[in-house]
Amino acid sequence: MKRIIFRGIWLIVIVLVCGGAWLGWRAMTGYVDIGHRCVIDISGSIAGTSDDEIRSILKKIKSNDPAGYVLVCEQIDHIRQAHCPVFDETLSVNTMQWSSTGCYLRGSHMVYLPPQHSSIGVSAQSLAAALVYYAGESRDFWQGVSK
Amino acid sequence: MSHKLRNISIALVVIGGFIWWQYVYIDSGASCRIFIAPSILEFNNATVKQGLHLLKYGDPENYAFVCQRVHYINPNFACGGTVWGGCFRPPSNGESGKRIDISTSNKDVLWTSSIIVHESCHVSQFEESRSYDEQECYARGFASMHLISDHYNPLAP
Repeated sequence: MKRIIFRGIWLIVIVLVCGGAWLGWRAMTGYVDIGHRCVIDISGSIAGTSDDEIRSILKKIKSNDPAGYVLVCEQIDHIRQAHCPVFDETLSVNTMQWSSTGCYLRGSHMVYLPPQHSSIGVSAQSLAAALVYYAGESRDFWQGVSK
Repeated sequence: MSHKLRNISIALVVIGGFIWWQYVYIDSGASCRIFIAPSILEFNNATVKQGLHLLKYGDPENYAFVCQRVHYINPNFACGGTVWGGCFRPPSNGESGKRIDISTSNKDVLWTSSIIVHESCHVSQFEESRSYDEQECYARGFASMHLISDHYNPLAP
C-alpha cells in the first residue's frame, strides 16, 4: 500500500515538473496566461528581441478589451513577426507591398504582424485592434468550415 | 526472448511514429500522399506540413492541384544551391517527375505554401509538355498567397 502511495506521489511530482517546464518554455518563447488558458507562440524576431512588444500588445488587449482578449486566446495560437504581402489585382511582384498591420492566414490560427512595428510608425494600438480583428476572422473562417 | 521482442516492437513503433510524424503527409480524403525528405536546413519538416495544411483549408483549389502533381518534396538546398525559394528539375534516369525542392525559412508558412504552389505549377508545365513559364507560376503562387492572407484595414467601415 505504501509503495503504491509512494509511486503515486512520484507520478504527480513528475507530471508537475514536466508541466512546469513546458509552461516555462512556452512563456519564454511565447505568451502564457494560465488564468485565461491562453498559450500563444511568438516567433520571427532575431533572438526574441521584439517578443516583448507582442506580449505588451496582448496585455494591452487584456486590460482594454476583455472580450477581444478571450477571442484572441481562443482563436490565435501563433503570432509570427514577419512581413505579409499585399497584392493588387495584377498579382505582380512589382506592385507587391508589405501590410503595415500584418495579416491573418486563412486555414490556420496564425497571424503575421510586422516586425519592429514602432520603427515603421505603426502604433501598438493599431496592432492590438488588428489582432482582435484577425481573431474574429479566424472564428468566422472556422465556423464556416465546420458548417 | 519475449523481453527482447517487446523492446524491438517498442523501438519499431517509436521509429515508425517519428517517420510518420516528420516525413509523411497523407490526406486520404483528398488522395494526397507526399513524402517529405529529411532536411539539413530545417531540422524538422513541420513548416512544409503546415504549408500543405494551410493550402488544404485556405486555398482548396490549389491544394488539390498540388496533391495531384507532387509526391515528393525535398526541403533542402533547392537544386543544390538556392535558399528562400524552390525549384523543379525535369526528371532524369527514371526519377519521378512529381518531385519538387522547397528551401524556405523555418516557420514562414505563408511563403512556404506559395512556393509549393509555384513549383507544382512547373510540374504541371512539365506534364503537359509546355515551356517553363515563370510568370504563370509566380501568378499562381501569388494568387494563392493573396487568397490565404486576410488584411486588416482600419479605415474600413
